[in-house]
Amino acid sequence: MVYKHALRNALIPIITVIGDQFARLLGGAILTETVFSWPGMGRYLIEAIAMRDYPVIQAIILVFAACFFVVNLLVDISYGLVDPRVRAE
Amino acid sequence: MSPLLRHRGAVVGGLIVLALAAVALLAPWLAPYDPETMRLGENLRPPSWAHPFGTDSLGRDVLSQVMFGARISLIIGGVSVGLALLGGVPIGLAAGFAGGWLDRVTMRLVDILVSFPTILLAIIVITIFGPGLRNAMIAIGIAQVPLYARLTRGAVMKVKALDYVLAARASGARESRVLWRHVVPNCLPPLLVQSTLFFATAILSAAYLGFLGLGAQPPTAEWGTMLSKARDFLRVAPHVSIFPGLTIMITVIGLNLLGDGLRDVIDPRTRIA
Repeated sequence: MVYKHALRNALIPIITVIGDQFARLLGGAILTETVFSWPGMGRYLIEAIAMRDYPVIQAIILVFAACFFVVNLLVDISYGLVDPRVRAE
Repeated sequence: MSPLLRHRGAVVGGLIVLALAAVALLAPWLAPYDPETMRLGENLRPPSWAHPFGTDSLGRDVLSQVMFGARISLIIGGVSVGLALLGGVPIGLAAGFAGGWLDRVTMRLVDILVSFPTILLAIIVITIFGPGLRNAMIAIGIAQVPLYARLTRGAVMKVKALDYVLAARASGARESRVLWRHVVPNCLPPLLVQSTLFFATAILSAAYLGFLGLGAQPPTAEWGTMLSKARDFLRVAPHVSIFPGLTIMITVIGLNLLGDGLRDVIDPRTRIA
């Protein structure tokens, strides 16, 4: 009962927050990687900016934006799965 | 005004913001030392009576640096929110009020910009303009333009459908009069709330950019720049990073409390009993 009716309706704001958090964490990853010298895309981006390596900057930003875009798409699709009323529109 | 004073969070937030503004304004008189004078013999001293927040790796007084940093942070917040308002509100007004193809085209463009995380957008702008405090403020401002455009459009659409706008039109008011006298003033409250919250985001973003070396450059006493320099001495002298970090945290909490309070007062639907 609780899972079927309560959780289903509670999921919508949770999904929204997950989407927002993903964006924030993606930005945060740049900082975290720089602080701890983790060889990730975020640190690569910062190094590329320091070196004025424009192709690398463009590529990383494109990949980040694509990730973000896909997550937002998944968020929107999952609204439809959770709440059939959204799909009707 | 009185509901705002009865809102506990808003009062606490408001006091923090007022205190910050006072410190920023009076920094040259309040600060015990010059924030840029180096005393190499007294570097990395722990907090003491002479230096309440200790000294950094070049013997500069951390308390004085934090105080002068408050000035920079307030300027950053003001300038970036101002830029975002200047850029976003006209776009949102035009899109929301005109409707039709203008609305569709601008909102698709805004959608594209919103699909970048805000901080990433700011980093892109910095990449184009080059690092520095002035460019960081411009970058943060520009990065928030699409959010303001969306918010303004939403507010305009809501107000446009209300009966008093219809009444104004029916009594023969020109479109420009309807826009400036009836629509714009009623769109201001949500913008005010959002500006308070964006002020906090702007300070945080500036600290973030400063930390990455893309914002204010040393020896400017900016909180994020201070943190990034202090990071190298985190083990031997944690106080050099703790105090600027705490200040950023308290400032952002204060602004957020104030913003949430304003929203509760202005928008009765979200008010908690």
